[in-house]
Amino acid sequence: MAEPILRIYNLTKSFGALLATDGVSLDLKPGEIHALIGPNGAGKSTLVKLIVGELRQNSGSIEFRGVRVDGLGAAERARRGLARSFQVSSIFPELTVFENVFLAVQGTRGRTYRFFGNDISNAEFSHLASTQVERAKLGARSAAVASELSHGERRRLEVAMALAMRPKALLLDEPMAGVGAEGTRELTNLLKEIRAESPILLIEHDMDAVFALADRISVLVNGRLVSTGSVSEIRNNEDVRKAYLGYEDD
Amino acid sequence: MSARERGLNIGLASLLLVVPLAAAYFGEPYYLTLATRIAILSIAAVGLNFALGLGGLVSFGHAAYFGLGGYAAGILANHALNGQAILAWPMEIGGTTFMPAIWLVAVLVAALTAFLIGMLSLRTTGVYFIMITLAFAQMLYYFAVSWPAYGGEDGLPVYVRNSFPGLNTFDPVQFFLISFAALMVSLAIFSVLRNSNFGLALRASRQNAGRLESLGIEVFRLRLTAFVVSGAITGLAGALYADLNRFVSPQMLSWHMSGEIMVFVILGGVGRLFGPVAGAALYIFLEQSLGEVSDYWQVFLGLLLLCVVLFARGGLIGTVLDRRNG
Ligand SMILES: Nc1ncnc2c1ncn2[C@@H]1O[C@H](COP(=O)(O)OP(=O)(O)OP(=O)(O)O)[C@@H](O)[C@H]1O
Ligand SMILES: [Mg+2]
Repeated sequence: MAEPILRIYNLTKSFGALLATDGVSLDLKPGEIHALIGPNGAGKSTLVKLIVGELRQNSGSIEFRGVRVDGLGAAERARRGLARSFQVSSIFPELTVFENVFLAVQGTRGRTYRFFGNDISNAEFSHLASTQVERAKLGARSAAVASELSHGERRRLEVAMALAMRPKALLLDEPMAGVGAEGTRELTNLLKEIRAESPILLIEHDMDAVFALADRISVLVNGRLVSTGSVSEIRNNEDVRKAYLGYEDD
Repeated sequence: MSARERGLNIGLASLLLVVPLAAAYFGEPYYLTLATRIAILSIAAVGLNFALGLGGLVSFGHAAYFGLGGYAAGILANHALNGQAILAWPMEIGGTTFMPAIWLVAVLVAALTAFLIGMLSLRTTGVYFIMITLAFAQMLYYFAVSWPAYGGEDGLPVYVRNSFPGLNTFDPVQFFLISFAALMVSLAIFSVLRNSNFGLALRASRQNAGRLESLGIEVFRLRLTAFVVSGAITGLAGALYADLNRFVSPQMLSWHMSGEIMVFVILGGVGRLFGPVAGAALYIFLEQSLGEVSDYWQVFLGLLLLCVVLFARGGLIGTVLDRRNG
């Protein structure tokens, strides 16, 4: 088996008395989609924030492409290829769709300190940005101001921005939340395509999508990883059914 | 920028250039001085507009850079006239009345100060940022008041107008043209920076700073750079203002001045290229017309400001453009 791209070891994070991340170890291998599931408040988003550097862990380590990154700032980790999408869409509302995606290109290429002129006229950069806009099925909306987008379009813009970073690992926090059946199908197809470019840590409540996409599934409950395994292993695991899947069936 | 806005900008620039020259031609040189003041104060506001309008950094201490630019000009000119060195050691540095050199020093001093103040204040946001920038400017104000070497509370007269090669700076028309040209250059810088990669990131940082970090852009460094550029432009305005009045006083560093610069930006239209020009012109116009009628003209200014903030967020420029759209 190939070396993991991302390896988290014994990660812990507390908010006051609450242990939101409790000794979590997991990894992400090249080409895989690793799903992270768990009930509300289990600590999934907190784990993503720790990995990308928005939050600082209390203890434990994060290794990315063979290097410890847990002491680095969020922007530095992003430039090294850690990209994430947000559970609640987080975009630049007054910029156009294209500019939103273009910023991701500009940021990861370290081109922000160009004061005279811009790289929008740079064929390579603008091509990369417009490719991701097309891919997220936002081509017709490229010149629209982001605040005018529908909920579903915003979710796709999130993904396009992450892809434009040309990530080495992609952390997607509930990309399908609230996009409806059609939207879920489209995004599922998009993620299948992406997996060849970058492994994905996928947080998702939609179990059909998870079972259709994931190579491995990890289950997080109360900040602890209760189990990791293949789709069929997790499906048949008694503890998981009790802790999580049972609750989904209600 | 829409074609309509560009047209409006060209119109404003032409008015500011032609009206005072025509007035001077017809024997009303007073308007020339007013227009020079508008041009210089506009430059100060262009500086703030960069930080505030593009980056959302509500600095309530831009008088610091304005005043430092003014003192740089005043101190250099005074030393040139009395022949004493400003610094005797480690090397001797004397004064100068050469405008380009004075501008350079003013810009550098303002930029360096903005860097230091920014390093500390940009770690905070919101009300704390407003208060810290205000506090730093007030510190400089009290320092100027209590330091006797350069006039202290009474201020520092500049007995000549500094020189510009090939021009007679004492001629009000020529000095106006210098100020007008400096305004056009600052506006060009603002415009070029706004459309650059840097400007895109800066505008984005105002809308959603946290998201920028996740795209690989350090927000602190971005804001600090913008703050330095902003302070530098306002510093240039201060140097010109000292030359206009041939006088520098702690008043240039006071919080009233910071407030005025911010009022120009808000009245004219936050983030608009010509917002500072429209705002400064309207302010001076009100000061002249209402100030004649009542000593309490600032009450009207306050009401106007309230209306802009409540009903016309786009300021003068935004309102005019909306009206013509409708
Ligand atoms: N900044 C914070 N300060 C205090 N508590 C926090 C903070 N962020 C998260 N928490 C708490 O940590 C726990 C884990 O939150 P987290 O958002 O990681 O859960 P989640 O698994 O993503 O849930 P969901 O499925 O609802 O998105 C919750 O109890 C939450 O209230
Ligand atoms: Mg979450």
